Amino acid sequence: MTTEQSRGLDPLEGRGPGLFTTDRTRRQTLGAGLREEGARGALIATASTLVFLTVAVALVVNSPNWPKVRNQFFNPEDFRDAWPKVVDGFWVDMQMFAYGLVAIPILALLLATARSFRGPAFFPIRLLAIMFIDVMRGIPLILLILLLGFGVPALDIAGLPNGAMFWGVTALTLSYSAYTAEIIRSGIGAVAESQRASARAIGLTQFQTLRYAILPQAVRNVIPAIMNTVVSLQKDVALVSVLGVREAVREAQIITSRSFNYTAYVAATVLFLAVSIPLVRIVDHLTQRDRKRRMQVAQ
Amino acid sequence: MTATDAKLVVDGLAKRYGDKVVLNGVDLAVDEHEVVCLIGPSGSGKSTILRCVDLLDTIDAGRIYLDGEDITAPGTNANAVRRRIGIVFQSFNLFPHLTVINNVTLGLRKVLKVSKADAEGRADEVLARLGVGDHRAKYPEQLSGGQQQRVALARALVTEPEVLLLDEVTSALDPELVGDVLSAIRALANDGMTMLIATHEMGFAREVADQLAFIHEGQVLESGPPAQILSEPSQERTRQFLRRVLDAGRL
Repeated sequence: MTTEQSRGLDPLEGRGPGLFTTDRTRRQTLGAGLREEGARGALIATASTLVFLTVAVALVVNSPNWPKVRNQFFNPEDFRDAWPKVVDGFWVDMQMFAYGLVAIPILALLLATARSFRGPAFFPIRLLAIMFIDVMRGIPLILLILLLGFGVPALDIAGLPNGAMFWGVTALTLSYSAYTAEIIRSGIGAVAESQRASARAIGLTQFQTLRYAILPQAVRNVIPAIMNTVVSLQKDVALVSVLGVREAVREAQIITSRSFNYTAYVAATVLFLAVSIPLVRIVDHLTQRDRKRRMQVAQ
Repeated sequence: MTATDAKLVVDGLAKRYGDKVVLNGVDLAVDEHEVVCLIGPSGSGKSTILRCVDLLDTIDAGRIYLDGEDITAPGTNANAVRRRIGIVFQSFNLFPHLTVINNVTLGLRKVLKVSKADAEGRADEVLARLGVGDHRAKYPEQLSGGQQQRVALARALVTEPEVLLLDEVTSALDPELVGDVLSAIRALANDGMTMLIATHEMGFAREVADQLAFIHEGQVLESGPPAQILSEPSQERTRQFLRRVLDAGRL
């Protein structure tokens, strides 16, 4: 009989009553080890971050043209001069962002609903929604802004507003609604078919089924994805500057073209970051929370 | 079996999914205040019959009459028909984003346009009768399977349907939770509710059904009073099925 066989027959052989104690002692040592490792890990992370930053900054600062670049992009005086105008412009950006936040969900919900209607009678509605979404997603956003912003006012149709900002926001809304509608539609697809059956079974019409049973679940499914779109919109409002709307980027452009100093762009960048970074953190937090919730339900 | 007398008549119902024939000429009749149980092996088409009766599936041939009126005729308002028929599914299918009370009142408020207060009054009464009145403010995921199924039953009953369809309502439940749901259905039968029930619970079927219909490969192979079908079935297939059920200890 080999040693393996005897071990196989009696796995506890030779381990005796000390088994539990040794195990616990081992676990305690392991726990202490992990704590130590955690502390050491934080130390290593801090140190490597510091080294990395020092090297990166040293590389930039010691580059041959750094004094020139510093003067061109990070001139404190120019920053102070540009700041009030850029902030005023940024306020316009935030207004456009706010209009988009109101208009986009409405249009996106309409589009997603139209695309989700079933039955041959609703074919034209579905077709229109599909065509709209395809076209809007197919045009580069900046082109859409240029086409609407310069094209529609040129038509001079009575009753239509002519403001560049209005058409800029409209272009943003059309494009973003198409994307958001597709996100919502994927959420609708993720709701179980049996939910639709049980809603129809209690007599709800197709529209009521979507409105009260399917959409609330669908939207909840895709909130993290929609929040990403919100972050993206917050920055894309700057594209409306191509129409001459005096928002932050446009203001910075005007200043730089006069002074040949790019510090105003840095001022605009700081403002966008000041809003987008907290927004991104919130989105991350929401996504994490949602993931945890799902894992709990799955258990 | 005459088309005009019974509350619900299924006449030559056929249904295909692609190439697969699921129902191949089903004939059934349910009188008012009568309970008909559909028994038969899994995949024989019991659930599909119920879904077709509630117009949740399109049909390929045949007719379905409710009070003598052809509800499968073109131009029938399916929403109006569904208001008269209640259905409860195997997997409850409660709306997870709504509380119990909102699950039960949704149909009343949105379809029948009952006021919120009236709807909640009626819902509370039905929930209490089914023993789940204490859970009105909870969400479905906070309830046990048996409680969820009784809420689903309440949701189907609160609109006072003329016919109730039950699709293997205890199949997804732990054994110890089956009893509560079955006794709720028994009480409904005693109250004279017209029901068409697909079930695997033979003991329950024998006790509650006025008629049993054995479904095999998309057809009604035989039907009659439970005592007759269960003790002296005329068809070999029925005998085989009952023997297998007996072996599995479900009778």
